[in-house]
Amino acid sequence: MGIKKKLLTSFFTIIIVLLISEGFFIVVDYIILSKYTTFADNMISEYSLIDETSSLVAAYNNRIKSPFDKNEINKFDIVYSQTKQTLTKLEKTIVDSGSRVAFNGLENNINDVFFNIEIGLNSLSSDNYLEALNRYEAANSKNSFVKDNANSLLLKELEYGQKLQVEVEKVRSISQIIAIFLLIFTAGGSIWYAIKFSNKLVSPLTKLTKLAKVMGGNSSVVMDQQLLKGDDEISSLAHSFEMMVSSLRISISKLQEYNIEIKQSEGSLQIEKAKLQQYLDEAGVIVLIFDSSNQVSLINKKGEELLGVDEADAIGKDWVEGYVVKKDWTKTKNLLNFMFGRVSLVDTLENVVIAKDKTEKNIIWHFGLLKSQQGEAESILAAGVDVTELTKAKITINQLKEVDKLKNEVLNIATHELKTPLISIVGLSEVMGKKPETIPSEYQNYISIIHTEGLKLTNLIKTMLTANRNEIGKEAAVKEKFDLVALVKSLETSLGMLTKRTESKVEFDLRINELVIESDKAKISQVIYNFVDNAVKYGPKNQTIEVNLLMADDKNVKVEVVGAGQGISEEMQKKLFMKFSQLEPSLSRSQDGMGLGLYICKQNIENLGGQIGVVSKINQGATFYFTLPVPDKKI
Amino acid sequence: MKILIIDNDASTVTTLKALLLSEGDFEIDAAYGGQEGLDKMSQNPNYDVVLLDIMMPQISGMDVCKEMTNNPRIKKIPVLLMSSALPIPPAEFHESLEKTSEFSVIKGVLEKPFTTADLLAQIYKVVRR
Repeated sequence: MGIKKKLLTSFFTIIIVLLISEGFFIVVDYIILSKYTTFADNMISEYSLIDETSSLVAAYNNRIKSPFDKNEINKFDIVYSQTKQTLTKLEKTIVDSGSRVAFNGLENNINDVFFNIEIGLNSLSSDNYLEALNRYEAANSKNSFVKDNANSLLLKELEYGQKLQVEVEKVRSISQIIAIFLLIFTAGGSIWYAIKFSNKLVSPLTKLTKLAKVMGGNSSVVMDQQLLKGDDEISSLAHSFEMMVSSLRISISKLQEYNIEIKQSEGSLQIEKAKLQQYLDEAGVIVLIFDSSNQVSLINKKGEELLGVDEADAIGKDWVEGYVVKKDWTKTKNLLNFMFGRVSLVDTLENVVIAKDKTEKNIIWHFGLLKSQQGEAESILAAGVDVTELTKAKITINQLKEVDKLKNEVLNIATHELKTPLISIVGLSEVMGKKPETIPSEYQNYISIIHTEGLKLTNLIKTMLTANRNEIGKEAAVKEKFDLVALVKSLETSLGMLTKRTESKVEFDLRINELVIESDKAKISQVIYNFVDNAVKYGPKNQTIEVNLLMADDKNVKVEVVGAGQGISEEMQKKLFMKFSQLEPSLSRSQDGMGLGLYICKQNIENLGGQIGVVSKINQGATFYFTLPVPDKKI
Repeated sequence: MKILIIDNDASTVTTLKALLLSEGDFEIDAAYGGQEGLDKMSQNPNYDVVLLDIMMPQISGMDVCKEMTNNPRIKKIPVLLMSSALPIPPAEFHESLEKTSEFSVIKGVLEKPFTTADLLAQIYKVVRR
């Protein structure tokens, strides 16, 4: 074999080795990037599922309110299929077994939401509105678990992401070793060839030999132009050298690019981790993670607040013996052992924990078992809700819900069933009253009483129904932008008519010139009207009722109605905004009505994001007020 | 003016009849179920207005409206719906019905119990159209 052929063969070998190593890096890089992409996609799907499920429940609520509105049906269908798609996509792409467990919890709750909505839709198509509304409430309450589930899933995904990161580090260090080895091999090989042939080609090749030695450590070497001239083996050797140098330069710059990309991926992982921590901190529940020896390994902000400890103090501490009240040790430990024995994946428990200031808090815990990739029970994720106040009142949430549901049903059935007979009572007494000459004179009065009382009963039932509609959120707010100051001014005439009854008058004190808010005009007018009406009903004759408008603080505007009168006791103030409450005991009620007015006001103002209240002292009159949020000035 | 009342509650039918007769010169027919109502309309399609209850056994008021829309002989008769169990206030309910073609016969919604004035106002509004 001639020198030329030998040289060419050896240089091609080196180039092929370099190309193979580059290919290897590209493949490794592709695999890592695709894993990160799926991981990031999953996180995005998990965030959007929270919104989508909520939108679905809201869309279903709109669908009930306008059962024949094609627009609402379309909107609902879009949200419905979107939610299903996201859930299906997520199900396919979750690979980590720990995430799978958390995902199953999420899927169960979302499927419950779907289930309730589907039954609700069937009820709707058979005109059964009450059942459709009950299903809305059920779907809505299931939806409230979805955020917690998604948070647990995000946490598991993050752990998976951390494992992924460890793998990437490994692959990266191996790749670096291979790269260094290849560089040394290539440089060493070149030097070896250069020395070998320099013995034969002596002086012309001395320059190339030197060059090869320098090149091992410096990629910016420039080839001597004299060597490249001509078409002999030396010049072709020089050309090959030049190619090798530029190929090396490309390889080095590519390696640097890969390094930057990997650093960027690491950065986005850090951002996701911070986001998750923020989610955990903002969650309204306590989140704890502890291992099989009950040692705490994670606690969120809510947990720190409730137990009165810093994260640093809590980590590594025995959770049961450190925080749970002694009488609950056995039942708590038993349940945890039971779970670590992998008999149960999720469970709930109510126990008492002691905060740092020695106060006792009743907490309802929801435990979920977290498994390692090998399927070993590793730790427990505990989400806790503080139910101390409720427990004190000896009422559990479920009992309250049951009673409330029963009351709604009874009220619905009673009012609807009462309405049909009333048509006959009111209608027929009205017809009889039109021909008094056909009725004995002593009965004429009776018929007019039947008619009047029938009408009163009709009005009472209508008021009750309005209250019940508000209760289940049927009367949604109609929001629009308007000037609140102008609205209050425009009520002057109608409020003046109200106060005429007791020869009283209304005085306005509007301390703002103009304030545009986005809210429900009709509901706000109704509340002001109600306040003034009460001030007239329960206050003295000849009084001046003040209507004031002012800023409560930077973010809220306040409307006050100040009336004279005997004032309201503190005990009564607490009950005032509840259903069926009136200032006077029922036997001596001198005012008509059912005691629903302020209750409806409270519902309306709270639906609009505001607060309602009263300030009063005995014999010093009363100030009823409400606040409403004001849009941010910057916008 | 010819009016057809369709309601399975006999007392309600009697009351509506008495009320309307005391108020003006009406010619009133009554049907005590959805199918009977549809039959009466097919036999005599020149009613000026139909007072129709929603909640009836077998064929509900909503079913009657769908049947009417599909029958060219009677699809021009205006209907006033009556119900004691509306999911939302009557005006909103009417609005949501107006957006769909299969209930185009419905021209007004009355929530039970209603006053005589309300009933007459709705009837005259429909007939004047």
